[in-house]
Amino acid sequence: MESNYILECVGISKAFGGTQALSDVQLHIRKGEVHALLGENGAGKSTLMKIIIGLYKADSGQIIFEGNPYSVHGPAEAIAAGISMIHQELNPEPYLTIAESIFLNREDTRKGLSLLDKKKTNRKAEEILSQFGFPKGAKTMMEDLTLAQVQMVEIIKAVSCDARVIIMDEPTSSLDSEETEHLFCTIRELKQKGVSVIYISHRMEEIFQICDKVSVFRDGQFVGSRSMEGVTSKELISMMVGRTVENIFPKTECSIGDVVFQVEGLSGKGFRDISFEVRAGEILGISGLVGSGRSETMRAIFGLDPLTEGKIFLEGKEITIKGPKDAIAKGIAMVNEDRKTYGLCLYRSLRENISLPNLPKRQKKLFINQKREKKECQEVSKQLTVKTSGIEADAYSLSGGNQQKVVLSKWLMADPKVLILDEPTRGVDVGAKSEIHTLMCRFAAQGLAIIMISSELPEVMGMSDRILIYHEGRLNGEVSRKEILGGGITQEVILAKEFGGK
Amino acid sequence: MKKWMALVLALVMVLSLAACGSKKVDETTKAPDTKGTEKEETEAADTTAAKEDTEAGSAGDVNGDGKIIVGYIAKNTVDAFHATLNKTAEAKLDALVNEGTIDEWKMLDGQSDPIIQCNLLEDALNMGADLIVLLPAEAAGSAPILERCKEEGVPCLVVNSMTDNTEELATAFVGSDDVQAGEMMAEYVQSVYPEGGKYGHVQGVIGNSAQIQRSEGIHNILDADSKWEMLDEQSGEWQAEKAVKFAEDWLGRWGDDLTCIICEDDGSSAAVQTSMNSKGRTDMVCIGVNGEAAALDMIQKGEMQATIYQDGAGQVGKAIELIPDILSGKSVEKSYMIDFVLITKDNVEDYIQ
Amino acid sequence: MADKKEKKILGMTQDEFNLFRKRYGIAAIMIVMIILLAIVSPTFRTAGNVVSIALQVSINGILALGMVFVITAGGIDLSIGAMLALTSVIVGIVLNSTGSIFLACVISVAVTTALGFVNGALIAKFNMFPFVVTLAMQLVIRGAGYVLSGGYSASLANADFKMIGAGKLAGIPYPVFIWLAVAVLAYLLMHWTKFGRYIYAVGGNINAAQASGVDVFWTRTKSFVISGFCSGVAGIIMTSRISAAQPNIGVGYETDAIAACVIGGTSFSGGIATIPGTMIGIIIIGLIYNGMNLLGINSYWQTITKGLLIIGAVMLDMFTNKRG
Repeated sequence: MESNYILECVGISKAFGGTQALSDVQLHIRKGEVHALLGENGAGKSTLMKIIIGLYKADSGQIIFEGNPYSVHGPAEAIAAGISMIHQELNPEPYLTIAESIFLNREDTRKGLSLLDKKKTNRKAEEILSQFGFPKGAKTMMEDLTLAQVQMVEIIKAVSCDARVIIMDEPTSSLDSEETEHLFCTIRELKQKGVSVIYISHRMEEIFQICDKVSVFRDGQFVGSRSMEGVTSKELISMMVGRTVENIFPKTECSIGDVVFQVEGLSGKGFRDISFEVRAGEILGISGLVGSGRSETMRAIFGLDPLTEGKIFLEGKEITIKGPKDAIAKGIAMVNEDRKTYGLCLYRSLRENISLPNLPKRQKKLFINQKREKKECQEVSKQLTVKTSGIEADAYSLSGGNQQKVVLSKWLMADPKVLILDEPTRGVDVGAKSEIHTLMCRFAAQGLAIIMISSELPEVMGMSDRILIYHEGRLNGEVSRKEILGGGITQEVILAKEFGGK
Repeated sequence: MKKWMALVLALVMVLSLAACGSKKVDETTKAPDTKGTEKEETEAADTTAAKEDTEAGSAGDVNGDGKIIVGYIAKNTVDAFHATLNKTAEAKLDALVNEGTIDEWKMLDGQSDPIIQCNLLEDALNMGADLIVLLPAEAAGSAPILERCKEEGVPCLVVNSMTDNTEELATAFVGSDDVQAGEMMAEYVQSVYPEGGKYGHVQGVIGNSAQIQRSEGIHNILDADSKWEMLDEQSGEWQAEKAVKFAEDWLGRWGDDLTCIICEDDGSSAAVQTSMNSKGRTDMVCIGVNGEAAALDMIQKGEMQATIYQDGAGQVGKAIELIPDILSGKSVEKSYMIDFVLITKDNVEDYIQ
Repeated sequence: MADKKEKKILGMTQDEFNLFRKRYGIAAIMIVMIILLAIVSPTFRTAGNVVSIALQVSINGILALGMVFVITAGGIDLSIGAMLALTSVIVGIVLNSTGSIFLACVISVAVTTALGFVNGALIAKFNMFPFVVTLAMQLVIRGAGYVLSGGYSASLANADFKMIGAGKLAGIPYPVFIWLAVAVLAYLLMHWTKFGRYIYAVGGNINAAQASGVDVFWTRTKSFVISGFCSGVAGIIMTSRISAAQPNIGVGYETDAIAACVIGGTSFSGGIATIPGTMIGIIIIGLIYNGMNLLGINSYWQTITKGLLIIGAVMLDMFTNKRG
C-alpha cells in the first residue's frame, strides 16, 4: 500500500548515557507540508532531527523515507538521499562566492581534467538564484551577505541538491520582520514545488502563520500532532508544558517613579538624534527591525561602541561613559543580545561569571574573599532560580535559559539603576522565557529602570510600559501600555511604524 | 585546592624521607670500609703511588660507593665532528669497562647548552660519577662545571675546547691549539696566492673558544701581511647554509676581486666551495677546519684544495688513555696538544675512513 | 599522617572529586613517573637527586609560571628565550662596570619587564597576533643582546653574584627557593586576586570580559609584563649559574615553558589553567630529562617523549575539560 507520508519516523528511542533523550517518538510528514515541531529546549526535537540527518544513530525505531527504509551515516548521505537541514547557527565559508558555496563538493569540472569549470558553475548558480528572486549575483562573496541572505543561500543550496525534505531549525531567530516575511514567501514556494519543510521554532505566531501541522514534544516524548486549523496557542502551550498557561506575559503593574535615566540627541554609527527617558520601575520596550539602530544605541550607551554626539543623564546629572567599566561603576548594566559572545565565559564556573563585573565593588581588598563571594553568588543564583548542580559548574553545562539567568544574576548583583536587556529571551525555551519575564517585573517593582529590546512584537507589547519604535536609525514613534491595552495599537500598527509609516 | 596542596606536600615529604632514609643507610654501612680511607688516599696519592697498584680498583672511587663511574658530558650529539668524536669515546670507554679499569660510564648530551651541561653534571654526580670527561659547550658558560668538580673532589678532563678556568682547575686538558688552525689556514692561502689577495671570513658562533682562537690565528698572519685585505667578516654560526649565503653575497658584490674564503669549520667551507664551483670559481680556495667526511671527499675528488684536520678522535682518545693513570693516582700533565694537520690531495687518503 | 591526608581526599564530594580529577588528572601521570623512576633507578631516590631535579627545573619553572599568565589570557610569548640572553648580557655589562649586584639585577629585570610591556602593548593596543609580535620581538631582543655584547661572552668573576645560582640554604640551592617564591606569588595572583579573574575572563571570552567592565588592554598587557619579569628573574639565575654573560644562551627555552604549561592543563585557546597544574607540568618535564639521563636513554628520546607527552596532555584536556 502506498503511504501518504514522505517521511515517517516510528518508535524512535535514543539514550545518552543514563538520560533518555527520546523514548518511542513518532513523526509523520506529508509531501508538500510545512510541519512545525514544538517543544521546550531539551524536549528532544534537535535529537530527532540529528537522527534524521545521520549525526546520531537511534537506539531503536524505524525511519521510512519515500516508502523505503532509510538509514544514513551523516549529513552528506542525508543530503544525497534528499533531506537537508538549515542550522540555526550558520557557518558560511566567508571567502567563497555564492556559486562556490552552493556547489561546494560537487563542483563542475572540465571534461577529462579535474580543473574547475567556474563559468558553468556560475551560470548554473545564476539560474537557481533568479528562480528564487535572489537580489545578489552568483559571484558575490559570502561575507558580503546579510545573515538572512546566507540563510537563503543555504535553502537554495538544499533545493539545488534536490532536497524533498528541508529541516529548518529556528530559521527566524536572527531575522527581522521583513526578512521573516521573505523567508515565509520562500517556504510557500517550496511547498508549491512539493518540498516538505520541518519547521522548528519557539515563536508561536510564526507557526500559526506558516505551518500546516504541528507535532509537540515534551521531555523526550511525543505528545501529539494537530492540524494548525482549529488549534489555539493556549492549547499548544499547555501540550508543551503539560499545564495550562493563563497569561504568557506576566506583566504586573507597579508604580512608576522619577526619571532615572535620560539621553538627549545621541548619535553614533547606525543611529541619529535619539532622545528618551526611563523612569524607576518602568519597562521601556524598544522595537524595530534588526539593523534599525536599536542595539547600536544601547551598545554605545553602555560604552561598547563610541558615541559621536549627545548627552546622557543619570538621576539628573550628566555623565560621560568611556567604556563598560565606567557604565557599570555608574550603575548601568547591559545584557547583550549575543549571550555566547558577550555574556559568558563558557568554560569558567558560574561563580566566576557572576562575580566578574562585581569584583571592583565587592572585593576591595588585595585578595578575593572566596567564602563571601561564594555565598553571594549562591544567593543571587538561587534568587533567580538558576537550575544547576552548583555554582562551581561550568557555564557551558547549562541550558540556554539558565545561561541567560546567570547573565541576569551577574548584573543583578551589580545592583544597577538602569538595566538594558537586548533580546533577553532569544534562544530560551517557553518555561524559562516566562520565568525571565517574571524576574523583569520583579526588578521593575524594586525600582529599576529597565530598557528592553526585542524582535518579538508580542513580547514587547506584553511586557512594556512604553514602546519606542526605531526606523532606520531614528525614533519613529512611541506608544504607551494604555494604548495597547485599550486595543488602539496592534502588532500591525507597530510593524507599520517599524517600516517607516506614521 | 587545599586538599591538593596537602597531597603534594605529603608526597614530597614521604619521598624526601624515603630518600634521606636510604642515603643514611648507605652511608652507615659503607663508611667504615671505604669512605674514611679513601679520602686520605686521594690526598696522599702522589706519595703512595706504589701502594695504589695493589688496590687500583677502589683508589679512584671518590664518592665511596664501591664503583668507579665515568661521566662523559658531550658538547652535543648532532654535529658531524662531535658525532665521530663521541663514537671514538664510546669505543674506548667500553674498552676500559671490559678491562675492568672502570665499572660504568654514562653518556650525557649537553645539547650545546652550558646550563644543560651544568645540570648534567649534577645528574652525573648523583649517579656516583668519580671522574668527568667534559667537552665544553661554552668557554665561559661551562666553567662552573669545573668548579663543582673541584668542590666534590672529582677529577675533570676537559677535551677539545677550553673553559675559561681550564688551566686552573682541570685535571688535564686535551685538545688542539685553535690559534694554530687559524694560522695554518692563513699560511695555506698565502702559499697558494703568493701575490696576495682579498678574502671573506665566515666565523663560527661568536664567543665560542674555537671561534675566538681560529679568528685570532687568521688575523695573526693575514693582518701582518700587507698583500692581504679582508673584505668582510660575518658569523655563519657553524651553519653551512648561512656561510653559503654570505659567500654568494660576497661573490655578487666583489666578483673576481674575491680571492678566497676562509671559514672556521669545513662543513661550511665545503658547502661554500660547492657553491663557488657551481658559479665557475673552481679556482677559489675555500678552506676550513675539522676534517669532516664531506670535505675530505671533495678533496679526494679534486673539487676542493685543502682543509685543516682536527683530530677529535685523537683528542678524546688521548683523554681516555689518561683515565687509568688518574684513577690510580699517577700524576698526569696539565695539557696535551694534538696537532692539526693540513689535508690536501696528497695525504687525504690517510684520513678517509 | 599520610593516612589522614588520604582520608581527606576520599572525603571529597563527588563534584569536588570530579573537579579535582579534571583539573589535576595530570598529577596521576607525575606520580606514576615518580614511582616508576624510584623503582628502576636507585640514584633517583637519593636526596641529592631530588635537590638537583628541583635545581634543574627552577629556570624553566620560573619561565613557565610567567608563560601561564600569557597563555591563559589568550596569548603566547615566544620572546622569553631571547630575554634570557639579553638579561645575561645586561647583568654582565652592569656588573662589570659598577660591581653592584643589586643594580645589575634591578636593571636587567626592569629591561625585560619593560620589553614585556612593549610586547603586551603592541598586542593589546593594535590587536596584533601574539605569535607574530613576540616572534618579531624575539629577533629584536636577541639582536640587541648581540649588539650590546658585541657578540662576545664575558666571564663574571664576582663571587657574590655566583652565589645566586650556586648558594645553598639547608642543602637546597637558592634558585629552588626563588622558583618556589615565584610559584607562591603566581598562585596568589592567579587564584586569589581580581587580576587573576580578569586573566581567566579575557582568555575565556574577551568580548564578555569587556562587556563586564574588565580593562582588556591592561589585563592582556600585564600578562606579558609578568612573563617579561619572570624571564628577567630566570635570566639572572641562569647567568649566575654559568657565571658568564652570554648572548647566545636561551635558544628554544620558550618551547619547554610552553610545554610545561600545556602538560599542566593550560588550554591553548585561553581561559583555562591552574598554577598547581603548571607546577606539575614543570616537574614532569624535569622528570623526563632527569629520569632519562639516569637511565642512560639517548637525549633524542627525551625530545620525542616530551612531544608525545604534550599531545597526550592536550588529548587529556580535551576529554576531561570540553566534553559536553
